[in-house]
Amino acid sequence: MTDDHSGFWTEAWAQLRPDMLSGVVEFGQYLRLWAVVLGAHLVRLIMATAGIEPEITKPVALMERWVFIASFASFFWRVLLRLYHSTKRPLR
Amino acid sequence: MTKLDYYLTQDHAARQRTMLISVSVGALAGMLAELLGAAFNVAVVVCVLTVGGLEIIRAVSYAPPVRKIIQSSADFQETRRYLLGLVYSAVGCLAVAFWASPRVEAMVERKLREATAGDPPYDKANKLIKSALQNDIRINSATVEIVRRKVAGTHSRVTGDVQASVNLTLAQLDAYQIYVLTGIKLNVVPRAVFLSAYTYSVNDTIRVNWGPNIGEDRSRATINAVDFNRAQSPAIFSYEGGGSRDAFVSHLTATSTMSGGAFVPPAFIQRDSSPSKLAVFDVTVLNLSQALDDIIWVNVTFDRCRINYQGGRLQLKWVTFKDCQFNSENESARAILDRIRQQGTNSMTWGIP
Repeated sequence: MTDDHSGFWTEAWAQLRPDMLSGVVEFGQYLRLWAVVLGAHLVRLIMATAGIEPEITKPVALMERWVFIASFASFFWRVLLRLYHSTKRPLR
Repeated sequence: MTKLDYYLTQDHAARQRTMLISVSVGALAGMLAELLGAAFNVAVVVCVLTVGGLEIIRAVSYAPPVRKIIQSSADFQETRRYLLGLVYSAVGCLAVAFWASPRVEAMVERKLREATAGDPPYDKANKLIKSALQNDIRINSATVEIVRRKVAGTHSRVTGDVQASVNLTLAQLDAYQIYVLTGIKLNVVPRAVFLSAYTYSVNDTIRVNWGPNIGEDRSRATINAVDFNRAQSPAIFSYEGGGSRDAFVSHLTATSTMSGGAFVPPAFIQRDSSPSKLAVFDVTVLNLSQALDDIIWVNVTFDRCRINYQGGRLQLKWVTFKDCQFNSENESARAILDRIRQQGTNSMTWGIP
C-alpha cells in the first residue's frame, strides 16, 4: 500500500517537475522585467522630485505603462499556451 | 519529447528571447496606437493581440538546436542558474516596490512642507504638486491637509499676484486630493477664488466660468442663499462655458434661508453640458435642491436636501444623505435612488473605484 503511494508520488513528481521548474524560471524572467520597469518608475519619481519638467518624464511614463501591459499580456499568453499544451500532451 | 515540450520546459533562453521580443513589439504597438489617437481600450487590445500573436508564432515555429537536445544533462545546470536569477529578480522587485518608492514619496512630502514653510508665493510647491499629480506620486493626505491649512492661513496677509499664487497652490492641493480619492485628474486654471472663513449671504446665482471655488474650512466658510427667486436664480453656483477647463468647489457649507412661506429651495450647483469635469469636494449641502448627474461628489454630506437624478453619469465617493427627499422621472434612475435611500445615513461610494 505504502509502496503504491510512493510510486504514485514519484511518478507524479517526475511528470510535473520539468513544467514546474520551467514555470518558476519563467516567472523569474518576468520578475526581472518588472524589476527593470519599477526601476524606471523610481528614476522617473526622482526626476519629478528634482524638479525636472513633466514633459521630459512623460515619455518614460508612457513606456513604463506599455511595457507593464505588454509583459502581463505575455505572461498570461504563456499560461494559456502551457494549459493548451498540457491538455494536448499524452501522459507519459 | 516534442519541440514544443522542449521549448516550454527546457529552453529557458529561447523563451526569454521570445518574451523580450513580444513585450518590446507589443509595447511599441500599444504606444503607437495610443499616440495615433486610439482609445485606451483599443490600444490595449492591439498590444495584447500583438503579444499573443508573437508568443504563439515563436512557440509553434520553434526548432531546438540539435546540440542542446543531446546535452540534456547540462540543462539542469542551466535551470539552476536561472533559478538563482529568480531570487535576485524577486529581491530587486521587492526593494523597489516596498522600500525605494515610499522613500521618494517621503522626500516629496518633506520638500512640500519646506516649500510652504515661509511666506508666499509658493512657486516651488506649485511645481512639486503638479509634478506629484502628473507622476502619480502618493503624498500622505494628512500632510496635504497640514500644508493646505498653512497656505490658507497666509491668504489674508497678501494681495495681488501673490494672492493669486496662493489660490493656485490651494487649487492644486485640492485637485491632488480629488485625484488621490477618485483617480480623476482635473485641469484646473490659475484663476481660483478663495472664500475665507465667513458666512456669505447671496441672493442671486454666482456664475462661474469654470474656475475652482475654495472655502477656507468646511465648518466655517458658509454660503447662505437668502430669498432666492428660483425662476431667476436656480442655483447658488452655475458653471458655464467650460471648454477644456475643469473646476471644483471645496471646503465649505452651502445652505438657504427664506423669509416667509413655502418655497422650493434653489440648487447648490448646476452645470452646462460641456465636457469639462466638475467636482464638489469636502462640502456640506444643507436645505437645498441638487441634481446629482454629471458632477463628481467627494466627501459630501447632503442634509435635508431635495435630491434629483435623471440617469446621467453618477460619481459618488464618501457621500452621505441625511433626511433627504429623492426624486426622478427616469425609471432606472429611480432604482439607483432607491439604493441610495436604502443606505440611510451611511456614507456611500458609487461609480468611483
